[in-house]
Amino acid sequence: MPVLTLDRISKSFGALRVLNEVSFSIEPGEVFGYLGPNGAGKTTTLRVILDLVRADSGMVRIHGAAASDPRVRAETGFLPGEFRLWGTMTGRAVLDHFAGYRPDKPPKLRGQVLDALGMNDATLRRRVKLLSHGTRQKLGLVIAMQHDPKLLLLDEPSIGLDPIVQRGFRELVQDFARRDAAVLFSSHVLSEVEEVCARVAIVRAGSIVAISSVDDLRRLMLRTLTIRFRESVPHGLDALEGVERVSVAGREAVLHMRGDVNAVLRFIAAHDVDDVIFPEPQLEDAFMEYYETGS
Amino acid sequence: MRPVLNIIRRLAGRYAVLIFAASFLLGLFQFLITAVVSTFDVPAMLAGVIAFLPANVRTAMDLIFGGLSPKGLIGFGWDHPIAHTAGTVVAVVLGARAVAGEIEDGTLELVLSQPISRVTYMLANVAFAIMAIATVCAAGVFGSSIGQRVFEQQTATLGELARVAINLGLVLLALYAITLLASSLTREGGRALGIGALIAIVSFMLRVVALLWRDIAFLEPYSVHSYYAPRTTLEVGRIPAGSLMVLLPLILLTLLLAFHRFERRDIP
Repeated sequence: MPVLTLDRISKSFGALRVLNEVSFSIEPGEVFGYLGPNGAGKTTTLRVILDLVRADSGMVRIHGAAASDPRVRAETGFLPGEFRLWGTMTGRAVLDHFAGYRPDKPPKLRGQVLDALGMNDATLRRRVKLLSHGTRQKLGLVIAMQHDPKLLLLDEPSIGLDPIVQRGFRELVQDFARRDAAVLFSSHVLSEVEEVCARVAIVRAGSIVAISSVDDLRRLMLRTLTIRFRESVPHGLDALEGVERVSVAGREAVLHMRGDVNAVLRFIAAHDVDDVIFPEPQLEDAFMEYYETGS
Repeated sequence: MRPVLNIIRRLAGRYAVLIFAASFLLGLFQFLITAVVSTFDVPAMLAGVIAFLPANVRTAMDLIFGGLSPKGLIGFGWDHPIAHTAGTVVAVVLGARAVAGEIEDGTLELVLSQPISRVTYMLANVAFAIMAIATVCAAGVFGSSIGQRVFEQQTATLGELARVAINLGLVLLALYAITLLASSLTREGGRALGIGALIAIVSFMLRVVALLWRDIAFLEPYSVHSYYAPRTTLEVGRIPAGSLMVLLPLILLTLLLAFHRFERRDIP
C-alpha cells in the first residue's frame, strides 16, 4: 500500500487556481522528487497533505487514512519551506517541545541526525535567535526526522546548508528510504533531486506535467549528439530512428534525438569519424524542456 | 492531554515575563490603593473637590467612587484604568498571538503539522489564557489582602475581593475571546492586536462617557465593561446576576465562533 496518495487534488485561492487535479502516490522506501519553480504549487501541495490548506476537491490519504485525521501525522515529519521558530527558546527546548507532541514515540533518531548534520550540544544550548540561518535549517531537519517518521515531507530542505552538510543530509534521506520510509522531496534545485530521487513529478502552474523515473525522463528527453566525420557528412542521418532534427556545418553534424540510440550508433559505426560528443543527459534539460514546451 | 500540556508549557515560558509584570502591577496598585484608603481621609479630601463640580459630574463621581465609602474606594481601585490596563494587555496580547501572531511568525504551520487537531491547539491556548488572567486577577486580590493586613484594615473580605476578581476575569476573558476571534480571521498579529485593543478602549471609554453624559446611557449595554461592577460586588457580596448572564454567553459564543473560523481556515 502506498504511504501517501493524492487523488485529483484541486485548490483555488479566490480566482487563482493553484492546484489542478494533482495526483500521485509514494511507495514505502521511495524518495519522490517534486520539482517546479517558485509559485508552481509545490508548497501548497505539501500544505494540503498536512491538512493545513483544505483542498476544494480530491482526497489525500496517508497510510490509507484520510489526511484530515491528525493521528496520521504521528508518523509524519515535515520541514516547511519558510522555516521559522520561537527565537527565545534554546535549540534543545525546541527539539523537546516537538518531541512532546508524540509522547508514545521517543525521538530515537535525534542523536544520529544531529551527528550527521554536524550539530553539537553547545549549539543546542543557544537560543534560536542567535543561530545562523543554516543552523536553524538543520534544527528544522532534526525536528522533522528525530521521531523516525514513515513519511517525510521536505520543502526546499537544503537551503542554507553548506556542501558538506548537504552530503550528510542526502545520506540521511537515503537511510530513511532504506528503512522503508517514504520521502517527498520538494525542490527547485534539480541537481540534488537527481542525486537522491528515483522518481520525480514536474509541476507547472498547479498541474503535474510529468511523473516518471529519473532514468526514463533522461531517456525520453531531447538530447544533442555531435559527430565530427573524417570526410563529408553522409546522407540519411535525418531518416534514422529517434532523430528529430539534424544541423550540418562542414564535417560536423549535430543530431537532436530522443529515445533509443542504437540505430544512430550503427550508422556511426559504418563511417569513419574523428569524434563523437554525447553528453550525459541532465534532469535539468528535461525539466527545462517541460517548462519550455509545456508538454 | 500531553500535547495540550506541551503547548501550555511553551506559552508559559514565552509569556512568563508579561504575566508577571501585569500581576505585579495590579497587585502593587491594589496594595497602594489600600494604603491610601487607610492612611488618608480620602472621602473628606474628595468631598471638597466634588462639591465644586457640575451636578451631572458629581453624580458620576459618586457612582465611580461608590459614595466615597471605604468599600467604594477599594472598588474604585479595582475599576481604575491602571487595573484594567494590566489585565487587558495580557488578554489582548494572548488572543492576538494565539493564531495571527503565530501565523505571522511562521510557527503555526510547523505546530499544526504535528499530530494535534486544531481544536486541541485552541483549547490549549484558551486554557492558558484562563490561567494567565486568573493569575493577574489573583495578584490583585493578593495586593488588596496584604494591604489590608499591613494597614490593619478590614474593608473587604477575601471572598468579596475574590468575587470582584472573578468579575474582572470574566471581562478580560470576554476581551480575550473577541481578540481571539479577530486573530482567527486574519494572518497579521498586529492587526488582531489593534482590533482587540481598540474594542477594549472603546468599550471602557463608552462606559465612562455614558456615566458622565447620561444622554448616551442607552449605549452602555454595548460596553463589555458595563458588566463589571466591583463596588456593587463588594457592597452586595456577589457579582450582579445581569453581568454573569451577559458575560458568560458572550465569552462562550465568541470562543465558539473563533474555534469555528480557525477550524475552517487555511494556514497560513
